[in-house]
Order: sequence, then structure tokens, then C-alpha cells
Amino acid sequence: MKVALLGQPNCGKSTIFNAVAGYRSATGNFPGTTVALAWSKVRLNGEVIELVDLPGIYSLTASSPAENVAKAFLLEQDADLVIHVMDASTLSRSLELTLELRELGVPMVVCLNMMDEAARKGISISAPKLAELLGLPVVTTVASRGEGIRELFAQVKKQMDADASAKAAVHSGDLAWHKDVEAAVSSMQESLNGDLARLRVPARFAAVKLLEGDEDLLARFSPRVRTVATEVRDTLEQSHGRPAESVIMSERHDRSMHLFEQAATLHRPKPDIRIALDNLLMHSFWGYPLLLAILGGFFWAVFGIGSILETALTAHFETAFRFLASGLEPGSLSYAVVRSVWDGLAGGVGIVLPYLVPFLIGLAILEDVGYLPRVAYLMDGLLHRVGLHGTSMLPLVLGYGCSVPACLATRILPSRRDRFLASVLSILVPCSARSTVIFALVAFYLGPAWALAIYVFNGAVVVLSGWLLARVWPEISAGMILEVPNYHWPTLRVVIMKTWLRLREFVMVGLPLLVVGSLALGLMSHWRLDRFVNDAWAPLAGLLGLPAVLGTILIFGILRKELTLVMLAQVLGTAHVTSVLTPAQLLVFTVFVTFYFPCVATLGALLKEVGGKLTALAVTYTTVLAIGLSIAVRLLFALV
Amino acid sequence: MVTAHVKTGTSEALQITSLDCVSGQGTVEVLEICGGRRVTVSLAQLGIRAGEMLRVRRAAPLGGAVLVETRERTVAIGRGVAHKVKVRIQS
Repeated sequence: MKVALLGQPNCGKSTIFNAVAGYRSATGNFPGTTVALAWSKVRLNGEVIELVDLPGIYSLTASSPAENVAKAFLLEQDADLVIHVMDASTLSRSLELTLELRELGVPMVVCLNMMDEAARKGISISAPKLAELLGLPVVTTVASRGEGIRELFAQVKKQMDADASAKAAVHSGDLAWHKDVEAAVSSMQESLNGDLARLRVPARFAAVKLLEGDEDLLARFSPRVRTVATEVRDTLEQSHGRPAESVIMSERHDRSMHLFEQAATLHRPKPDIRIALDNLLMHSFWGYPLLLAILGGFFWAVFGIGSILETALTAHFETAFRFLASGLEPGSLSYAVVRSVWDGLAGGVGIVLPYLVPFLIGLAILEDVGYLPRVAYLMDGLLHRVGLHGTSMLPLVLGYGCSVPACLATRILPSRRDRFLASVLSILVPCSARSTVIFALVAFYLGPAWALAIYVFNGAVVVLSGWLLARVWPEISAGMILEVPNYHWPTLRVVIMKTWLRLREFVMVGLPLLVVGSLALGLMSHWRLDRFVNDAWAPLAGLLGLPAVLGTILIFGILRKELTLVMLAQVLGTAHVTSVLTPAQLLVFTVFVTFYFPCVATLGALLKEVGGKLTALAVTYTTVLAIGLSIAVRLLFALV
Repeated sequence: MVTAHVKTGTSEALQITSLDCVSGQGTVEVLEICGGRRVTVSLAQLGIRAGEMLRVRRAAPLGGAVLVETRERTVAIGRGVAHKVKVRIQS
């Protein structure tokens, strides 16, 4: 049995998915957090079902690749049942999607989520009345607090167990629109005949979508049907004085308003402090210093916590190593093995984790509280000047966590060119791995102000790169249309689970890779094999003013960027890197690591999202940029 | 109460303008979306379509986005898109 969670963006689908499947699908308080399918097997009263979390979709007329994923699943994957999740506080708009889904004839349970938010807005909804009007089971939930989830899945089970006739009866509601529109739908429906057999959708659904000008569906029909569609659309347009899709949407809107008025009553909304908060955080002037203060506070908190933990942990690891290696002779193979394995482990646990954990916690809070769409609003004007728009801000901010989900998040952008630009810019943003390099090297040894300067420098390079790439690939950007959700208090459980979801990847994949990589480097150094790589890197190292021994670790860094940090002490032969590298060299090295070749996982994501040619272009650009900027930093220090 | 007004224009233009030209807070009625299918559909999905009333909340500086409230949602609209939304200012 296959059950899909479907609904408009940011209505809580992933929160419901995670409540029953364990935390597997990232959640966030902004539209477009889920851009791909998330699957999980869930046991429901002894029966195993496949639960699928779909990207949010405003209607079955998809306008971005992420929405297309949901639409394609619905039309092609034969879901046995759909849980249609609705944000109860936006009921009338959400009902328009419900009416579309009814046209599709898929068995459905309606989940009215965020009932607390609706109450706050003064909207009181009668679930039994709505169920009666829709002819569908309706369950109310507050998924963020786990309320109503059990009842929802009990209803899902009940619906799945119902026989076919009961399921069919669910959809025998009144869908009638105005007479002339109904006549147009009927006339379209009659022309489908043989063509419809190849598609597994009801005739009415297909007819309506063809009248709405759905390009995907039009392409699947014969030229005869397409001609009829054009004729009927023209007739509708002439009689209503506006495009056919607008006429159909108005019909659905009127019907959903009618349903809303019957099922909901409006009261005076409760006083909401969040409006005052918005007045401050989105203020034309104060919004910007506050944005800098919030990001600056985040930075200082991560560095403050990270440096305390790093100092304490590395001291313990060094003591433990002295104990472990007490019987081993320096220079021997066994000493090289123990030293390198221990360096990998100590680097991962003692240096990377102290910064990574507070960083991921902070990012989870920022995402959940709903601040990111406000940042998109504030930054739209600036981003427009570099050829992008505010919506591109979401992948860019996600890039601070990890470049892979950032590349995937570009799917919320409708234009291929915008997706490419946002992908390239998001991989230039230092991910959490590169941030640990910045924190543990620059902030720890040179002071937090220098690390902050690297972030500011990086931001300037991202903006200039956007400006440059937009001129190489000129296109009028589609412009931002972004829903700004209400602020939510992030729950402790969600923040912990989300941090763990991201941390798990580091613990399960990253940490073993650090140990294995460190061991490989230890063995290469022991047998002096690293000299081949270092010799090849030497000319560039000379240009950058860096020691040739850093060549090998930059190659390893392509596997995981944290390896550059962990291996640095290993190749330099001391944990106190400033005793070997000058401050200028430390900065040049960090700038190079921040911008150079993307890691393997990011490369895979780029290939998937923008294709081979554009990936090659992106990689060439970042590498050339890394070399150029590193040389510039070196020259700048030489002049000073 | 603060009402919306048009930055420049004749007496008729004081009533009908595009959304990007509305400054201050106030209520406007959407008259027409002068854009392609994608823009029209994307705006309509969020409740911005001919005949709907919008409350303009604020506009970001330096040609930034316009923040509007529909009956149920708050939406940030880039200036380019806002220019395509023709509105009548309500008193």
C-alpha cells in the first residue's frame, strides 16, 4: 500500500511524516523545504505501508521542478491513498487544491493541520461540516505538538480497509461550475475518447487541465485533441474576456469560498506580537542592521562554544595519544598507523564536532523560526542587481549548512538559468565543513574578527560572481513571488532531531572517511609516496606562497572538506599550526579551501541538477576563482 | 490611519497604478495581472488575482520587494512582478 502526503507548501507534511517515520525528512518554516520525495515504511496496526512525503504544491498546475515531482508522482505512481494536508489558517486557498484532487478521483483523507494557528487568526472550523460538504473524512491536527496524528492514521487505516464501493462513494460530490464553463468542460471531455485510454486519469480531470493549458498533458494528446483544446479555450476566453485558465481558477476559487463560508466562522483575531516583530525585522532601515546582528550573534555563539570545546577536547586527545603510543617507536610503521588513525579521530571529534554541532543547532533554529523568507524579502533588491531574486536566498542560506541540499533546493526556482546561478553561488558559500576550517584555523589562531572578515569577503565574492555570471548568461529573471509564513517557536525536539539528521551524515560517513583518509595520508607519508602529489602541486604552491606538503591534503579535501583541517596538523607535524605557517599563509590556505573544487558529494548533486556541461563550467569557475583570490590575498599581505 | 498613495501621477493615476508604485500602507484592489501565464498562475495560487483586495504592508528599499497581505497569506513580491499587477487604491 502506498500513502502519499500532499498539500500546499509549508503546511506541515514533513512534520507529520517525521512524526510516524522518525526524523527522515528535513523540515523548515519556509515554502519549499522538501524538494524531493522522502519514503519510509511505516507499520499501521500490523500492516506495513509505504509513506511518501511529497514536495509542496499550490495546485496541480506545476510551476517549478519541485512541484513537478509531486505532480508526476500523483499522476504516475498510483498512490493508494492521499493524505491531503491543509494549513487550517489558509483554509479557503487550500480548498482549491482539494477540489483539484477530487477531480483526480484519488482516495483521500483530509488533514486540517495547524488548528492552533487558525484559532489565533480567529478562524473556527467545523471538521464534521467540512467532511460532509466534501464527502471526505476530515481529521484535525496540530502536528508540531503531535496532536491528532494517531487519529489521522487511524482514519487512514479505516479508509484503506474500506471496500472499493465505499472509496468510490467518497468522490460523488457536487463539482458543478457555471453552466457555460461546465459546457466547455463537457465538450472537451467528449473529444478525448480514445486518447484517454493511454493515460490513467479521469476524463473530467484531463479535460479541465487541457482547458487550463497544462503543457505536460497537452503534449500527451493527439494533434486533434490539442486543436479542440485551443478552440474551446478561445471560446471561453472570448465569452469571459480573460484567459481560460483564469476562468477555471475563478470557478474553483468561488467553489472553495462557498465551502469555506459554510464550514468556518470568523471571530476577532487574537492580538499577535508577531506583527510587531515583523515591523521591526522587516523595517526598511532597521531590518538590515538587525539582519547583520542576528547573523553576527550566530557567528559569535558558534565560535564561543566551539573554541571552548575544541581547547578542552584536543588536550584530552593529546593526553590519550601519549598513553596509546607510549610503547611505540617514532618513525616505525606501527607508530605511523596509530598516529594517523588517532589524528583522524581526534580531528573529527575534537576539532570538527565542537563547531559543527552549535552551527547546525543555530541553523535549525533559524530555519524553523521562519526568519529566512524575511531575509529573502530584505535581500531581493540587492540580489536583483546581481541578476537573481530573493527566492534564490533560500538555497544560498542552506548552502551554509551543506552544498548538497542547497543545490537540490534550487528546484524551487522556475528558470534553468536561475537554478544554475543559484547552484554556483550556493557552492561558493562556505558549508558547515568549510566553516569548521574557518573557525578552527582562522578564528582560533588569528582571532574571530579575521574569521568574520572571511565571511564578509566571501559574501562580496558571491555577490560579484552573481553579477558576473548574470552577464555571461543574460536573462530577465522571473522575479520573486514568495509566501512569507508566520513565525513559529521551534520545538526543542525538532531542533535536536534536525541537528541529528544532519550530524548523522557526518558521524556515519564523514568521520570514518576522516579516519581512513588520515590513515592513507599517514601511510603515504611513511613510504614517501605523497611527494609525487606534492611535486605536482609545487608550482601552484609557489604562486600561493604555501608549503608544497599541503598538496596531498587538498586532494583529500575533495572527498571531504574537513580533511584539509584534520590533515593539516598531520602534514605539518604539529598541532600548533601557527608555529609553521605565517598568518598570511593561514589566510591564503583558508581562502583557497573555501572556494576551490567542490567536494565529491556536491559534484554529484551538481551533475544531477544542472548537467555535465554546466557542472564543468561551475567547477572550472570555482577553481580559477580560488587560485585568483588566494594569489590576491597573498599579494595584499605582501604589500601591507 | 495611514493610507496608500501613488508616488507621482495625475488625478486619475492616483486611483489606478501598478503595485510597485504604491507607497505606504493601505488597501488596493487587483484589477489585472499584465504578465505571462506563469506569473498569473503563481500569483493566483497565492490569492493575488483580479477582483481580490490586498493590504500593502511595506516595500523594501533600493527597488526591493513589496510585502502584501491577501485574505489568508502574506506574500513578498519582487518589484518586477509587482509592476505587472495593476491595482486600484481604495480610500
